[in-house]
Amino acid sequence: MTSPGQAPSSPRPNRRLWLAYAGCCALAWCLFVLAGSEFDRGLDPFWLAVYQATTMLWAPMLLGVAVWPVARRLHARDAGQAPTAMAHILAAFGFTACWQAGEFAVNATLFGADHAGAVLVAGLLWRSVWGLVVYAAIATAFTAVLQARAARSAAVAAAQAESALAKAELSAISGKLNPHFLFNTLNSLIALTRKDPAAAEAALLKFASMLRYVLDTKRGAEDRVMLSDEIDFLRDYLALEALRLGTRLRVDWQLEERTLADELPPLTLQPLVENSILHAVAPRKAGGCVTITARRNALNQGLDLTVADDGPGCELDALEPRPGQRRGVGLAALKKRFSLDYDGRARLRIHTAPGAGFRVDLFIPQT
Amino acid sequence: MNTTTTVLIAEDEPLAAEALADWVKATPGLQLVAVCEDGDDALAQIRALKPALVLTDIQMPGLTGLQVVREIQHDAHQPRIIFTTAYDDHALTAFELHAVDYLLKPFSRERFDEAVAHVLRDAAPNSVVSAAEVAQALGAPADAPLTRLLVRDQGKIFPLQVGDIESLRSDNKYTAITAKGRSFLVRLPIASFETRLDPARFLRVQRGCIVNLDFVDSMTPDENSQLVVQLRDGTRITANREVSKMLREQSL
Repeated sequence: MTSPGQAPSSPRPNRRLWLAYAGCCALAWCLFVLAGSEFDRGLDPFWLAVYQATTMLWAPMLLGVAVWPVARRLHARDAGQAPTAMAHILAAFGFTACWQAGEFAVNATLFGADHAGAVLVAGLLWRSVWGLVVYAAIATAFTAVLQARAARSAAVAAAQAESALAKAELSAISGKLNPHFLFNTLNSLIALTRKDPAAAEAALLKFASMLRYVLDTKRGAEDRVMLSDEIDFLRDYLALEALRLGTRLRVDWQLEERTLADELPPLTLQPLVENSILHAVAPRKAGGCVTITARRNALNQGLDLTVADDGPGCELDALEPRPGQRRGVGLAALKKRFSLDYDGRARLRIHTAPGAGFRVDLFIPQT
Repeated sequence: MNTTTTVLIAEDEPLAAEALADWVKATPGLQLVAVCEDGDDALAQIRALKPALVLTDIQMPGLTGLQVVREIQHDAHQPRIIFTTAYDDHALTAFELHAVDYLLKPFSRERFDEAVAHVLRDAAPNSVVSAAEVAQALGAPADAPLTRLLVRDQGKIFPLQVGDIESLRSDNKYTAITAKGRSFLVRLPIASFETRLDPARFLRVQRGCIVNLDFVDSMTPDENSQLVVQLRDGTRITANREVSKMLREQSL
């Protein structure tokens, strides 16, 4: 129940608390005056009511301030219902005793000890009951405030945990290279070392820079990269895929020069390109063409990206994740990634139909 | 090797196909008859050229390697099959459980020679049939219950009914299966068996060991009140605390 770091010093909420307390005191005082002057209109009864309200209320109002640390300590300790109730009852008697003592002291100063003693004895029972009731009211209000604060900080902690989980999920989604691709590429590279060592060297360097990019961006899923970096990475990746697929893989780049400095989450395009290769290029004897487009959105100056292929396409319903699918990064995961990132301002839209290829449009805000 | 073995390669990736072709040509006793770039071509060429050995990738344009094998399972000519694949847990498990030959890409020349020699030495004509069985098994979910598996021992393949298995023990990356008084090594971690065996009969008594309760002779508590499971063949295995507790609760 304790909320470390927040309880000891939180000036702003405490200022509001004491303003509210002062407001309640003023209200109680006004009601007291009103009730006292109600019966008998006129100037004298009014001033009499003011006098009575003030002498009656100054003590519990000041003592009420002392209830706050008591309530806070009991709330923080959270010792269980019975001990907390016991402590509050003891505090209530203490409160009552202090109230009486305070009035006695003031009366003794103003009117002498005899008068003060008489007033004390006359009002002993009545004031004691009142003391307990007032203490109960103040303590209840303070405890309610403390509990509301605890509930709010618990809600904040839960929200933080949720966003941490989302971040972890994000980093799990990104930074994933298809092992099928990795091992097939290694296989091709090994074959290439025998056939053409110079080409193998160049390909291995591409492989190294690709891995470096993937491993770098794996660290912070919320990091942003420049589009030109993502494109360079994509070129390395596609060069390696071309090694495996030969002339069956064709790529069409449609990049607007002015978008190259735009920022986007790392590994945004690669999973989409990989999906296209997996479904539109690799399974077809004649291969296929992947088109990658980057444009400036004329309306809001954001970044419009498109990855499209001329493959077999599919029904949109068929995209729902099924248990049998294992390879690649699912579109569902990508969608989730975009909804977590950018607070819903980024968009991912799929256009496909059987025989009409597969196209994914992405919008990434730049402000 | 006096007779030459005709070989067909089905591989869509040009570099991989080329490298494999080089190795086949360099191996005495092997004669390369065709390299096919897709599944449909492979199926046609297998039927036309009747190679003795087929090296086939799984992921190919057109028919997959598994579909090709399923197509030819009722043909008169039955080649020996070696699958080559880069990564597919599901398929590898199925290969192991059906004693199908495979090469995991990338593979070394030694591993290639070994697999080829293995295939040529084994007199197991049911290679296509068991490969077709694998293709069937791959259609089922990855945790479908096991009923029968094929295991190798000294170049021979034995069908094993799951009920005959006495115990499974983890042995590094392998699992040693004890059945019919012998021990067979399978290149799979023990965890890949646990979910696929009938839990009413098979019990994982500790991290590295699953026993068939039908073959348990007795269970005696030791001084730490953990149960010592004695199998009929005299093997003793100490169950871990958790399992011991569960067994004691169940026996009441």
